Amino acid sequence: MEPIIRLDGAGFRYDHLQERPEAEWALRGVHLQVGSGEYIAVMGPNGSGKSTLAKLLNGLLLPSEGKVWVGGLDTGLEKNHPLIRQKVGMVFQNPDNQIVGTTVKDDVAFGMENLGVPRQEMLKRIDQVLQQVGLRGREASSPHHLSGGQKQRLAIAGVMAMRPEVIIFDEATSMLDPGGRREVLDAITELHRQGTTVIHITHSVKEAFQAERVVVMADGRIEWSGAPHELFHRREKLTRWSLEVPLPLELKERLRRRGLPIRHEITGTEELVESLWKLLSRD
Amino acid sequence: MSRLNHPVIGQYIPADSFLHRLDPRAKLVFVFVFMMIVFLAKNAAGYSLLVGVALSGVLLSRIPLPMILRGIKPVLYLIILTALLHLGMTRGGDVWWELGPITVYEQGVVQATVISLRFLILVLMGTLLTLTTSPMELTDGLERLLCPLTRVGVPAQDLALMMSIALRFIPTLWEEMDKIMMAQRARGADFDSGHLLRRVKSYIPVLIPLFISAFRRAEELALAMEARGYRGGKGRTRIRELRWKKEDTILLVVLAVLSISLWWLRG
Ligand SMILES: Nc1ncnc2c1ncn2[C@@H]1O[C@H](COP(=O)(O)OP(=O)(O)O)[C@@H](O)[C@H]1O
Ligand SMILES: [Mg+2]
Repeated sequence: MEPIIRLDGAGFRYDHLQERPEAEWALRGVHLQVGSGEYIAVMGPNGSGKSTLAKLLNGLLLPSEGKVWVGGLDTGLEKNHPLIRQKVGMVFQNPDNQIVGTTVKDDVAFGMENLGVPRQEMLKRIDQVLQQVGLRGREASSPHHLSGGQKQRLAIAGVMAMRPEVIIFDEATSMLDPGGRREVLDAITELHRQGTTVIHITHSVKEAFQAERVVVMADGRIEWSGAPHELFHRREKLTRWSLEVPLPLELKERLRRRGLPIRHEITGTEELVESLWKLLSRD
Repeated sequence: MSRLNHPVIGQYIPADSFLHRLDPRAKLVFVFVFMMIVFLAKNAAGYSLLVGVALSGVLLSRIPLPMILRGIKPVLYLIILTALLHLGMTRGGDVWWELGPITVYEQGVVQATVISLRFLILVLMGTLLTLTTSPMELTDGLERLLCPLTRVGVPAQDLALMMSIALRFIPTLWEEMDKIMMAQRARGADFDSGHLLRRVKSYIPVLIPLFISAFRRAEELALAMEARGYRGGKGRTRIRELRWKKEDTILLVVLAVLSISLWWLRG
């Protein structure tokens, strides 16, 4: 099947316009294919190029080298941008700085207004997406009265109303409290279940474990890519990529180092708990 | 130490009255034209008519008088000052009082009354407009009224969007200013004492971080808007709609009749 997103050796330099040869590449030679309906987590230290990658995927930035394709459309061509922006939605980190409307309803409508969706259709979709993110009944609220989690859900609703095929979350949970995080993660899971392609940029290994595939970036390149449970065998690597090591993994490694007979292949909290129970009931 | 009182933007008071229900376009046109025809009134008949219209406005707004007066209060001192100046400076007619060096003539009293009445009526109409129309409605009304000017290069849609974004961010920035002030207070800053210059100076360490953060917000917002497909006013549909009703037409008819009457009474 044709991937919804394809990067062919894409790279980006922030001052490519001035063609300064010494300018650093924020992204270099990235090859990546994202299948329709896939759920990908992107991880990596600050400055590794995650946001730059995200902005290449909807034409906010154009590749300085290589090509980026969205649903068969070249992002390098200006005339494709309106359609690409509709196909690829984006939710940013700061809940306050992505809300345009003075009311919840106005804000959800903003993207649709830009697409030229007729008013009747807008009203229908607003009702539908607010229902989905659990903000129905708050249409007339001022966004500044919403909690952080609610604001991010509003941002998601605004993107969903544009009927995108892909939604990119650029550290969309990082400024939220645990409750808000949960709300947004649940919304992401639901979107994925309904068939939307999800790209979730996050620093949390725990969040990344919800995805089907994890992409780790370092210095503007893709360092590693694979299924999340494979990360469980790579504790040393997590540390090297300066990613937080999840508690069950840390526990497993420490117990093993103490010489307890815990299998290396354990890949989840459940299995770990089970083997610990077995150990305890043996004595 | 009290937290800042958050300003009520545009002092809008929600209610269900005849004036509240009117289309903002009709209200804007009415107030705009009214502010010009006020100057047509030259005699008691003309002024009675204007006062009558202003008082009907007050009644139709169904807003308690004290709230309306609160809206007028800031300009009241200005009105009193102007009236006093006219009272003392204008010569003509009989001498009514002599208080030391100041002589008050009949013409002075007339001038002072006329000027303050005119001033008061103007401010009252403006206040009624902002009390009965929400800032967003005003923005929508202005946008639609300016729409014909798009052809001569007035970016009506973009201006309206700018205004609504400003409205959207006022509470956010206000909250942020509050936070910065608290942080500065925690480090010993003092905003409430000292002479004026010192107090103004104490706000500099508040305003600088506020501006820096506002610029960062603007940059991020611009990006978020672009990501949501914003390309300027062209080809956009609108979720907000304005409905022109029978009452709005009636208001404009009243305006026409009022203008003609004032013109006629002027003679
Ligand atoms: N607007 C910009 N102008 C110049 N350099 C930038 C800009 N944004 C990011 N960079 C640089 O590009 C690199 C990658 O940044 P970014 O994609 O934001 O990383 P991440 O999102 O992984 O933290 C960093 O070295 C950063 O300093
Ligand atoms: Mg980033």
